Amino acid sequence: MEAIVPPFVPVLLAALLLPFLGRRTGHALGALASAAVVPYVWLVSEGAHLPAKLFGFDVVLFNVDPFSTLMGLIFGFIGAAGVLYSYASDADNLQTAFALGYVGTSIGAVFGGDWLSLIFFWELMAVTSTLLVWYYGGKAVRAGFRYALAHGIGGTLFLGAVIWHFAETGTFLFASVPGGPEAAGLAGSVAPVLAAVGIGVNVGFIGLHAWLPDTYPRPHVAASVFLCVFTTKTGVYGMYRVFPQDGNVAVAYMGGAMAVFGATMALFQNDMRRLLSYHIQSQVGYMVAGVGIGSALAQAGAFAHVFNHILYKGLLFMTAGVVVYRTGEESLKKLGGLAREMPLTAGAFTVAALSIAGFPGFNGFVSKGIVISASHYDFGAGPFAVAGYNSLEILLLVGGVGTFMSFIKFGYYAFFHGSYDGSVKDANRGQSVAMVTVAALCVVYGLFPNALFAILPFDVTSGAVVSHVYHTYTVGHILEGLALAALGLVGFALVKRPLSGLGRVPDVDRVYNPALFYGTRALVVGVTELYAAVDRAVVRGAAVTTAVVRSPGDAAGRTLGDERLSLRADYSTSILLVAIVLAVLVAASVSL
Amino acid sequence: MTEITSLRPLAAVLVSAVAVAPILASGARPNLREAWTLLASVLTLGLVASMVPAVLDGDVYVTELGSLVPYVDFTLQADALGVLFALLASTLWLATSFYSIGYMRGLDEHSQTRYFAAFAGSVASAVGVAFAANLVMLYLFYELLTVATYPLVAHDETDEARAAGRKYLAYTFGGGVAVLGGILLVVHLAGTTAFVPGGIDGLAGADPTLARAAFALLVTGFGVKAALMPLHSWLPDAMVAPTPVSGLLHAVAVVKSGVFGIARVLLDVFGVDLVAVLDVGTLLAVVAAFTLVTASVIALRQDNLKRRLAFSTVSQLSYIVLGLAVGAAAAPSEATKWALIGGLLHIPAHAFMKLTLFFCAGALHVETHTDDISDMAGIGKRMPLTMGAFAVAAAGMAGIPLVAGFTSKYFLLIGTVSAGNLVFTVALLVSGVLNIAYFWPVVYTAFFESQGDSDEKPLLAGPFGGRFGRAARTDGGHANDGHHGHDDHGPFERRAPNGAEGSWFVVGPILFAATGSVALGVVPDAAVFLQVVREIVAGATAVGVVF
Repeated sequence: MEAIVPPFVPVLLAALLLPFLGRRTGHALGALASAAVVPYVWLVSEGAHLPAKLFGFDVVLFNVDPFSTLMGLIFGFIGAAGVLYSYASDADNLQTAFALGYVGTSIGAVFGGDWLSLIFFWELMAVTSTLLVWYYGGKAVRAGFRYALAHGIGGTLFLGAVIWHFAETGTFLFASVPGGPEAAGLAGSVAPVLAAVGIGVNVGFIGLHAWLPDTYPRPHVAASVFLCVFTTKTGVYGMYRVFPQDGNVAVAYMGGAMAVFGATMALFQNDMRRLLSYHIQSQVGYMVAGVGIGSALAQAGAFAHVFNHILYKGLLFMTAGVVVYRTGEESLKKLGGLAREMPLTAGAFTVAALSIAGFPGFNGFVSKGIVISASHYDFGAGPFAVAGYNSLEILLLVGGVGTFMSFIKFGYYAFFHGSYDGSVKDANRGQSVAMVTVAALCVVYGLFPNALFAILPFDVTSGAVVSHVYHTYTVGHILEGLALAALGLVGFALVKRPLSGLGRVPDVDRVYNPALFYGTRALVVGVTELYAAVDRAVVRGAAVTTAVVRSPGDAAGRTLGDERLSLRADYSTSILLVAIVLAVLVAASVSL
Repeated sequence: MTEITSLRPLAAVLVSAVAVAPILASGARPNLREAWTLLASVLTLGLVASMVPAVLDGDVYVTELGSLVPYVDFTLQADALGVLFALLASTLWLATSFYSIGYMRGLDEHSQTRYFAAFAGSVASAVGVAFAANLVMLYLFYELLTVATYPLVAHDETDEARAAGRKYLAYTFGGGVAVLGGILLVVHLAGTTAFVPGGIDGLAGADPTLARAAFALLVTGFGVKAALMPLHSWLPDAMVAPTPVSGLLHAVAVVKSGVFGIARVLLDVFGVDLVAVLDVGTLLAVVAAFTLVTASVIALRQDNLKRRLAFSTVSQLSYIVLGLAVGAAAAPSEATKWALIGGLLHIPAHAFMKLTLFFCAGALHVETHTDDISDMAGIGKRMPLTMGAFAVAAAGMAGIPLVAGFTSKYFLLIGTVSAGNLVFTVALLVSGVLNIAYFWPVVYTAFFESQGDSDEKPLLAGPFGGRFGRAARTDGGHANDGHHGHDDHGPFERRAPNGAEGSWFVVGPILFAATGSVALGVVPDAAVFLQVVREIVAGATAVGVVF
């Protein structure tokens, strides 16, 4: 198929038209525009299409390779599912328009064939997602401002890295695109580090992640479905483009640490969407670890996990959203026994929870397995290898246990434990269709992993491509999955009592938010007071000078304490003054 | 490069100067008076635009009027740099003329005749600055610009306005004295002050100390109007003027004449190579970088919207000076080309964005008498198009793509990184984040908050975490009660986004300026200005920049 327009164009057009259409027409158009991306990018031929010039620089607007195609397929699908869910959850047209703008700019970012397009759409993604958060009002507004600042800083660092790369190579084009440089990734030693930190904000590196649980739970439940997908996964894609060849050891270990940290913090949360937000960090840790390991197997695993995660995380936010939509409650402490009242939602939740934890038979098991396999075969032992398991591998496995524990907690408190006072309706038709479709895909890709392997950038079943051929359903793998599940159950049973007594666990923003706020206030006040003091001094100096010049007599009088000094010399004083001056002049001319 | 002898540069200056008389004469008939203003601005724009195609080819239009006195040549020339400034000033004067009509009539202001007459005189002086062919002519029009703008600054005739006017005169005439000193030194060293692309030959062989002294005097003198710290404090005080004045003159024409003067000094008097040899560019860049960041920090604390915009202008002007200085200091190298393009492109980029912001501030004043950000919660309902344009321009100021600010900042960043001055790169990047910090709260409070349900502004003056933060809760929750007595209008009523929010004389120019900002952000070459900038840099560096 010919590449006519970049795939972001119809989505952004739909976003612009939405506010002027009726609710049903607008959402139908939006879902259609997003869904149309799927067959379009699947059928279009590989290559760097639609080269153009932006500000005089060469750019490529529609670069099709296995990585960008995979991103486009899943983004288009989840965008459509999200629009359907938005319609069913009473989102209004303007909110869905902002969401579609966010979807469109994300698609633009992953299909760019050069760094300039990527950073161009990256910044626009930050703006559109900020608007989506702000739209809800209330507490979401201040949180959205913090989000905008965090992403402003991250985008700024990434921009610095891209510019540095340009200064070294003279072009923004990717290496795989005609006209690009020899080596893929960012050139030099500074640019990749800057980019890793800048992208690290988006993917939630530990210490840079606090915006995730701060922002995602705040806006409308349908907005959260969109938010959980695009920023973080475009970040993973960007991280791959920065380290396409051999990965990066530090990035890989950060991914492992994220997997454990995110799952642990999630376990401490009672707000449903906050728990899910920390899990985004944990799961993205697997993807980042895959990118960091850098082998074909690892990269295939990372992108497989991107695909699967978007499915089950979107589904999790949808189910949590239905619970909030029907009960009005955000916190697990106020829920219970909803499985009886909302069986479909509970069923969808169970599918998603088993997928995210990596239970055999669901899609998460497949992609997590590939990444863990790569951490075993393609990565070094590291500082704390034990019993044949590498350090990174251990981190990823521990993250798996933590994931099981926190989703057992979620399911227990929300759906299976106790009973709910009153009666609530289950998900409505639109929400149900969206959830069931996504859940079905989670199961299909779990039971028929070859369907997923077909769209991965590398063939994990071929020994010629990857170091170690991946077989999904081996005895070892299944036992591993079941063991993690068992450990999770045992672990949850052990910590259930102490956890329930735990209050709010502070995160790093408990430190840096006040530090930045009070620090900036001190700086601003200091600078303005200093400026005001200097200004006052200058104005006073100018006033004094003018006063002296205007009437020297008054000025002289003021200094001597007299009212006014007459500077008029009388006859005898004048002669004395003239004589002195003449004497000085004569002496000067004589000595010269 | 051919010199075309033509009267067009002179005509462009004279049209608005001559218009002063009929404007003063038709004071009793406002519509006729406004018609003279509009006619003059259309003619000026037409004359300047007609010179653009040939200038892009490398030609220069020259009007020589002879010299009465030795060293003082009354010559006007329209070269690429002059056309950049003149095209910008005349385009935006047309938009501002419409806006002034809506603004002055909307507020039923006094002395409108004096206002329009002084405005025409100011634009004539600005075009004169643009088309001056040597330093003396530049100085002449520079001082005329100060004189012509004084009645506009002191328009309100209150004590505050007169004090601001006096401060303005003191600073700008003081700067003028420094410029004059520099001119005298240049004449002494080189025998001529005529602008030569690449620098005046005589200066290259002159005594370096005196050359540096001349540079310092000229740059300091022009730096007053370019609002380099610590010479900037006339600008926030001059915000007492009517908003169209603040907008066109103090965000576009007067301050841009200051940076224009610096550009002429760097490119056509000394030349980038000599500046690099004399090693004076780096110090200027340091001053610019300091101004960049400090002004943004001060802006965080301002509650009055126009004062916040004034400090933003101080900061953004230093982007231009930084680009010019870094470009000059790094000559001859690739970095020079990028930094100069960035700095020069920021002249029109900032002008369109800042004018949009000032027009919005003025529209808010006319329609709702709201001047302070702390009163603007929910004003987006009442003025959707205005605040929408404000949001677009604010995004551009922060360097968000699709708007002009991203384009010029992008080139500036390439320039500073290529030149190896990472401190300046960091300053630019930090300033971008600070821009988000002081502009976006205005946007979010306008659209996503409402009166009675908003955080105290400026954000730093309020409790940590806003009205939902712990500080507010333990405080007895008084974050909202009567923003020290400003709450006199009640909630803003909703108006449809189809122009119902105000006169089209006011809203139209706002939309025009915002559209221009986006055009410069997406297709800056097609929007002419980037082509002109490339032509300037090609002439200044003798390096091909068409690509």
